[in-house]
Amino acid sequence: MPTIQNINRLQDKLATLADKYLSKGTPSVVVGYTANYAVYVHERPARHSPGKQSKFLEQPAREMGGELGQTVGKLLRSGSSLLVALHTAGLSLQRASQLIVPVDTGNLKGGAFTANEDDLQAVLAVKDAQLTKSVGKQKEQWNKKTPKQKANYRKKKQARMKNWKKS
Amino acid sequence: MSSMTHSPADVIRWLLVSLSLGTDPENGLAWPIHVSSEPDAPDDLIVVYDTAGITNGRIQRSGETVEHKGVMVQVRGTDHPTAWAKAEAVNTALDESVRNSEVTIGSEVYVVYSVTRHSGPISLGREPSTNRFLFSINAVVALRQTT
Repeated sequence: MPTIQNINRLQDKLATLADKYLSKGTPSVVVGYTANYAVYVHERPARHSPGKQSKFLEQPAREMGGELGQTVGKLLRSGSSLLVALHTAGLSLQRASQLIVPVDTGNLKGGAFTANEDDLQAVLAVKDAQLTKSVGKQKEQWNKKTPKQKANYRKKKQARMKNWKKS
Repeated sequence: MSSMTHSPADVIRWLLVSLSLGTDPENGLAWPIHVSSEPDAPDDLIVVYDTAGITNGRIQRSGETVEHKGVMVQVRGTDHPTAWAKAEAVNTALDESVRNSEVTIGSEVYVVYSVTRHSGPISLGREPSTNRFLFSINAVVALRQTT
């Protein structure tokens, strides 16, 4: 029967690593989008402008799986904590995702976040506040426009959409 | 994974038909299962899409890349309980009924070794124009064409 030699040494090494990195609990990092319609846009296959697509988070996550693992490993070897390593990997996934997320008003793209799972609620609250402020500012700017300016804006937007549909 | 004549979504469609979770759209029966396109009628239907898969390295001797293909099953229904029940049935079937299952499409035969779900039925809410309910299930599939 085949035997594995020096398995105790390996177990000891793994236990030491677990003590080093998991002593303060198991850190977990979440990458996501705050917009309440993000799931719909993510899951519904639809025609988007060139370079943009549905599955804007799942696809890079699957494609970058190995790369993210390597990033975490590299940072751990250079002395970073597990949380920092995971956060860095999360940020690179977020960046890749933001490159392909469909953009209409920019609200969805702007709602991308990478957060430690323990701080998730706090991060979401900050994002929400930022969004409320930005929407308020946009509304204020819109209200300052004259009816003629508003009509011009709508006309231009319609023309843009028409051109895009043609293309 | 060696090349295949049909897309993984198509194979999963026929697998679901063989598990009696839906029907061939050409027969005009309830719960037709479409691939990669979602017609407006009927209201209750299932659509299977191909999505990004996961590569798991390469076999050194043959150079073949081992890949779990990605699929998404989307269930659309007129009311919430019906759509949910169908999504849940698909969910359970993918978990429990797929094990080295043989799928025949025309003269081609495929073996679906396993389906690994990455999410349960996710509620997407309602379609903006028609108010129909939507659920989606994401999974990766290990399969191979045998003939």
